[in-house]
Amino acid sequence: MKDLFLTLPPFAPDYGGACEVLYELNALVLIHDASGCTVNYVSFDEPRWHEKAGTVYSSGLTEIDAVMGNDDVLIDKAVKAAETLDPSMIAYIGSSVPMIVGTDFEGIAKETEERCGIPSFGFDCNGIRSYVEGASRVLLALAERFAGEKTENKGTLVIGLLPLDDNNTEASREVLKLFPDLRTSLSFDVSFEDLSDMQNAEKIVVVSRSGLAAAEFLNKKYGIPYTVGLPLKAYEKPHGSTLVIGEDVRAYSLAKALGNAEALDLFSSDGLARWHTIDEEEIRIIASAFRNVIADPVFQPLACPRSNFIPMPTVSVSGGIYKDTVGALDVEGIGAMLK
Amino acid sequence: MIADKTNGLPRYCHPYHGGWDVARIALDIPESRILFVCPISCARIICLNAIKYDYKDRIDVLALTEEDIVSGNYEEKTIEAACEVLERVSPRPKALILYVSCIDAMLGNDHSFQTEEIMARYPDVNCLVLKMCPITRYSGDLPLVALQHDMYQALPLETVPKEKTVAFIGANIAFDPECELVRLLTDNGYRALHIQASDDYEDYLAVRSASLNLGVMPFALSACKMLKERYGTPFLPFFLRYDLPSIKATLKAVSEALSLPLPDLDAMEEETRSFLCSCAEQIHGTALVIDSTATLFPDALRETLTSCGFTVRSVYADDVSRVSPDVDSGYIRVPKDRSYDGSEPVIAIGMAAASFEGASRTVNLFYDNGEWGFYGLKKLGERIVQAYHHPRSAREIKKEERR
Repeated sequence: MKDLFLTLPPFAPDYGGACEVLYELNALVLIHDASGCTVNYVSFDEPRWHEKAGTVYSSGLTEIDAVMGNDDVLIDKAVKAAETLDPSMIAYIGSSVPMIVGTDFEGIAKETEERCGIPSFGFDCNGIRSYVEGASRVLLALAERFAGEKTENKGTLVIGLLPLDDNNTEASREVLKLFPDLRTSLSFDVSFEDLSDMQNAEKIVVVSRSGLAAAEFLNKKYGIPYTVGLPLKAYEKPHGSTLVIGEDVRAYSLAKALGNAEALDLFSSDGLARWHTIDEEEIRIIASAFRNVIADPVFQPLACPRSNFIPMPTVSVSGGIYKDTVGALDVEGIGAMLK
Repeated sequence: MIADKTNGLPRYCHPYHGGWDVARIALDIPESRILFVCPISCARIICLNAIKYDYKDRIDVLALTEEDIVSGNYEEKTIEAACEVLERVSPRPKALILYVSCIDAMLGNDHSFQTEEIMARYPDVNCLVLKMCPITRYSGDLPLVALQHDMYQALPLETVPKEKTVAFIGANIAFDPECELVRLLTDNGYRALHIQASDDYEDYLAVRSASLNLGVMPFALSACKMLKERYGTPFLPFFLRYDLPSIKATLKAVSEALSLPLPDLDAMEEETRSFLCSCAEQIHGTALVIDSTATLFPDALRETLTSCGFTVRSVYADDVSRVSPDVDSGYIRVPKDRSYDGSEPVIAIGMAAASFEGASRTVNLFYDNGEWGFYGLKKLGERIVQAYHHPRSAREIKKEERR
């Protein structure tokens, strides 16, 4: 039955992706929920939380405030917290209940900015869409708001690097090392001040589907060329047919580097991968046609018992509960495990 | 319903819940299975905990789409999904729990139609509805209160003869057989019934036969009252607290309620105090910080430890008004500067305190780990000494817990 999940856990939702982009930007982030969605995010979607807790909070939404549309309560909380935390920006992030009552997040953000003068944003996430969509919308909004006058043309701007796409923050740092002329990475190893520099890059590399909309915007406005995909070294040795399951750009980049491989994307309806689905039965059927399957360990029960399953955990799927095995950058290491 | 203690500020949410969520507690019903019916993100933490602690094979998710919510057609979809689960899993569960989330409270759904239809098709399955709705925290029952109540409300209405059984209601973990409360019962021919320790649905049904219920946590009182009304079972509101007077009072109350001979409580107290004092000496004055995830009554623990020679520097709690005014305290839910630097060598009791303090030494304790009484205090003393000798930060513990 469609939408029934007997094996897979739910993946990181849109509010997780949105918060992840904002994590290092000295932003006061309020997830508009009763607390469960925020606990979801801090527990399993944000590996940086255990290094230094961020400024992502739950609005503490109540049934009464939701029914009555008491948006002033939310704004008052943000303004009061901002007095203590001195954030560079404020962001309201939606969840499932605000979706039901139709909360006007953009209006709330506008009123907040008028009251306290701090740049404010509202994103009507709903906990149903994927983290890629949440992250994509925030990255685009940041580009639209903070990219200023172009005064230079140098270096690489990386867009879409999220710890959600790796299994730990060290792996995300390794991704940045692929770019020796790195100028800025918009969502990882970044500061608020870096945002006003993004337009000065010579070129853009989109390292996950999350970064595509922002890259297209910067390309259109400033003419900065962009490429999509990780620049991975090709694996030359022969091996059986291989399926890589994961995020569209990451999975496609790895499949391309390995050769004789296809990608299955879990988080978008279109893109580079050959398949885009989270349906368990579809995945089971697709995976059965491959000799090797590279995916988060939660997919192992869906793989054919005779296939060679190579576990590659990512936070977006299994929330960091699995020990590190191989990362997407380790093409040689993965290649050696192929049959 | 509770009062909002955040003083008009947003809520700080920490990620340390000891792996205990509402689903794991609900699965205390032996031979049960859960079908979550919710926007897909609501079940993420549930399913990941289930994978981490190895019970994912008892949890399924029906992911509601925007279209389902707008059209309201998910009542039928839920029945269809429940039937598919019951057809596909083997052995078939004795109880199927439909778990709904906040949006269900907003939409005001009535699930009796669904449960009746499912039980009509599968008469051997008890179908019940539980609610994971933190949004009703200030307008209805706390989620944990509603959970305990609704878990036991699903018992059959018919009464059964009383037996020499005492049911522990509201504990996450079954008490150790070495705990003096369990020994008091078993030494006198009583069965200490913890459904969470059982794999047999009959043990859930046997709660009706208990001669006495013990409400182990405050969340369980509503369930105990309901069980008293339905089955005439008296109950004692005995809360997990790390303080010596309440431990003695509880043992006395249980002894009186069941006419059991009491052990020498004064000697047991003295032995416990002596043990804790020796633990305090072994950590050489290292200060302790305590949080309210470790124990619901952190100030009671502080008093006990202080009286045995420990130094307690800070207490983090949901409601610091309950903490003695002469102790440094902080709200666990309110944003404020946390140190995170670990510059001061403390032992943190509770993962939230460990995180706030950047403590390198941690006692990983959640809601007392079910270690109550003199037994529990001695186990805690051992854990403090162990944390002193084997430093581990909250981050290191999280990493060690990976599969």
